[in-house]
Amino acid sequence: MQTNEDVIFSARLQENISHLKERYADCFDVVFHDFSCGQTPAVIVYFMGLTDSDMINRYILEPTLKQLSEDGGITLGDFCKCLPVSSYTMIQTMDQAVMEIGDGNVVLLMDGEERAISLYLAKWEQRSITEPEAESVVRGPREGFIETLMVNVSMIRRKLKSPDLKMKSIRIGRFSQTEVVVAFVSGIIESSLVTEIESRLSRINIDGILESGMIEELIEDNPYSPFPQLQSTERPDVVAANLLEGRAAILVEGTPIALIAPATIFTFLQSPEDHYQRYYIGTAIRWLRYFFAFIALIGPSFYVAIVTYHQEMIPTTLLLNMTKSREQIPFPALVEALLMEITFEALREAGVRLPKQIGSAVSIVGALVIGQAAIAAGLVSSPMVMVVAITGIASFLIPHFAFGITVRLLRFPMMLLAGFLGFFGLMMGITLILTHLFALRSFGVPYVTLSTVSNLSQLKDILVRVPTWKMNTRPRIGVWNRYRQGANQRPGPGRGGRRR
Amino acid sequence: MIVLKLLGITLLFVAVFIYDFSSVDPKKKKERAAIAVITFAGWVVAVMLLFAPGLPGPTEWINQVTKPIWVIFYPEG
Amino acid sequence: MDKEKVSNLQLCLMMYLMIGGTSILVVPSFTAMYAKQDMWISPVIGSFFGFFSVTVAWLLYRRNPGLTMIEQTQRLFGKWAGSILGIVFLLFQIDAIGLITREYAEFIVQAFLPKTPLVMIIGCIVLTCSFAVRSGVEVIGRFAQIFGPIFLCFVLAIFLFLLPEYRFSNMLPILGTGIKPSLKGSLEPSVWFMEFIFISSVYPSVRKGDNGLKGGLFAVFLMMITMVITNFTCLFLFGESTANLTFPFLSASRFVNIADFFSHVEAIVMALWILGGFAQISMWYYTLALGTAQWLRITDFRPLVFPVGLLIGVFSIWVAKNFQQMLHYFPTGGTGSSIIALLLLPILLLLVSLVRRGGARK
Repeated sequence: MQTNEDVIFSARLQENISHLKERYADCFDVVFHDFSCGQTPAVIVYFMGLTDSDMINRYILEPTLKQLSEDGGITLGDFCKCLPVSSYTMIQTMDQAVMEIGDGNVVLLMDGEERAISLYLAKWEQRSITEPEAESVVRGPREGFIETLMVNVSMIRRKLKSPDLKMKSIRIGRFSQTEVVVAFVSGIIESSLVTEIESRLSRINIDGILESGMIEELIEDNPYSPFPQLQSTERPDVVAANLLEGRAAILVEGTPIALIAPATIFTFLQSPEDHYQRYYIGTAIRWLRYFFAFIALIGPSFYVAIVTYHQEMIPTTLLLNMTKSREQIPFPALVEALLMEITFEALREAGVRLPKQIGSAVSIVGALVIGQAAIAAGLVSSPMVMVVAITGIASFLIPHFAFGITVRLLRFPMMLLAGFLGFFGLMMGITLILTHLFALRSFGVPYVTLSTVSNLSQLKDILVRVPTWKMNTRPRIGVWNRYRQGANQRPGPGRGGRRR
Repeated sequence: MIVLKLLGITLLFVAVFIYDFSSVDPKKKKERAAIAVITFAGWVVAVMLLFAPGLPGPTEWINQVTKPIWVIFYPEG
Repeated sequence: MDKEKVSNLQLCLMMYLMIGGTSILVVPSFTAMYAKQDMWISPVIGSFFGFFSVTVAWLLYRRNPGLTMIEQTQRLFGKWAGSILGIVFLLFQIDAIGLITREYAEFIVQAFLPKTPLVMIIGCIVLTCSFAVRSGVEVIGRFAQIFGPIFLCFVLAIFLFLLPEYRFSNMLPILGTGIKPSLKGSLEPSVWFMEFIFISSVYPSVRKGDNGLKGGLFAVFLMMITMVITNFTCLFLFGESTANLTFPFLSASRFVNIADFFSHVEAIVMALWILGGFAQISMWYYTLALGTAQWLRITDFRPLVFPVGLLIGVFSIWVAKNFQQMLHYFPTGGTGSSIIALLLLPILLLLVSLVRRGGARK
């Protein structure tokens, strides 16, 4: 039964206990342990799986039992001073007690006291820190977030030790009471951004939050857009880097995926590795990635448009070959393309569910075998299979999964447009997508900010990856806190250190 | 055939009309009136064109009206 | 939502694309018809009108800050006269946009999709642009910012790639028959340059501190350069027979042949043209929708976008029975109506504005 009033503890232990027992009726994992501190009866309440009973024995019961010899009552205040527990709080209402118990802490109630203390002795089984599978790098840290919020917070603290790294905590979810932390570096970030994020979070009124994805959907700018407007990552170094650029991170208890706001289209096309490798490599791979992201979107459409409407564009020798291979195919190019693409997507999705060892083998073998068989059966032509394969690989170059899926899905309407209206349809599709992208905003920041020719320094991290010693300014997100490093950081034998 | 085209055109105009009409506050009479008038005018012209494709268009009228001006430059017309 | 702002550069490119798209298609053949080998001089003469229009628009804006032309007519002429003048202006716009859309659709059908019904193409163009317009001027500005330079680059690229094929002697004799042919040929381009007056509908959206005058003048300059380059390309390639081709620059791009591989790149070129066309029509569409809303004294033009789109579609079909008739309209009624709406009307506005201000100051 839900009551809305918050009941303050009464001085009588039995009343408090019976109230709590009523709240926790039918919960077999709640423990009510009676003991006495000297003459005063006391009770500790906790969830069995969420605390370490060894700690309870050693840090609460042992010192308590030593007090048995004392006469007279002991107040809670005195008791606290004797307990070898370093972190605890005083609580005064039932709701607070329930929340603390839910967090895994131990609540101690004493007779005659209108307060109780909550001891931070929570401990549970958690995953060890491993490299995130979806975001692995060749060079860079191999840590990934885990499901426990405090551990994730500590990972970020280790990267940014300054007290300017702020972490604000909110509880969201009526039944889940999930703890959500907003992290930012004050002094770099624009304060209105923080207020905006906080207000959007506080607006959420939902039964429970299970994953950061739910929060993302509830606070994004444009819920109808296929494009993600918050970045999500499992890597603490990515979070730290973004915090240093003036963005805010949202960490959610129970999931290793952190959210970063605001996001622009370029954040989705960057990989952390770009910054750890040498800048030539970073720039080159970045260009490769942009090019292939573009191909992933319009590859099949381009092929369909040319083959169906603009055959004159193909160089003659290639054209002859293609005609030969397409002679036997009963379908028009559009149908062929749709068929192959859908099959490819199905294969890929199936591969995700299979166990690791079988999964990759099936995808590769499946693709090859099916492709070959389809060609042999005369259902599709080999150029088509080539195009589909290249497009598939191209979509894997996009580092961010959600964005990659969006691009993959948008391929299909583009294919339809190209199939019906040729190049014109393709251009129309591009125009429509661009119109949408140009109008999209993430927390007030325009999604596509290439419109900064007047401010060339912004392009330093977008078009190319400029050497670290040249990245003097921060990206412009709202108010611009300009300089991130001192001037003249270029290294060389004569700079710092001794000249040979 | 013509009936189908007529139906198609009417449907299109009605769809646009409904979409825009409902997206504007009922209080804003002026906007709604504007939407209604423009859509209706467009529909009228579309239907006219459907039945009389050779209808003299604005080009012919403007040609006549502005003749005194362009005749200076292009006496050969 | 705060009022959207456009930067100076975006303004410049928006205007450039607004006038540039179609003009490149047809200008060479017009100028060639009258100016023959001096066809490259005509755009230079025509650009005078462009600079003039931008200046007039700028002056009007300075005197009536924050207002577009329609609003200015209402302000300067009062309710009744202002509305009549306003509707003349609007009617011109809708006629023009119908023509431009028609021209583009014809181009696409002829070049790309011969079997597709014209209505379909017009519908697609209007639909796409309506989304852009509905999203606001900022989106159009960004679009122009990306495609303006690309457009210009491609014009340059084609010019350069065709260098091996040029016969420079086509240019001679320069001014052989005097300046008169160039003047006659400059009539058409001048009409197009007069359309720069529409910059006044974007001026209210320009970011504070950005110089709209410079942006506009630079746009005119870019337009002139583009036209000169296209004319040169056609002149050196085709000589005087440019006049016989409908889309000379397109035909020119067909000649591009690099290493025997990059032949037939005209498809890519045409694709870029289409994008430029979207930008152009979006700009005209925006001006029209905004103007209509302002004429009716409605604050937000967004709900009007789709109905106006339907009107545009209908007008594009109504405007001409066939392509030839449409082309014929340009030197005749087109010139006449443009002179009235784009030249006389703004000058009238400016004079009244000057007189009024003069009166108030005393």
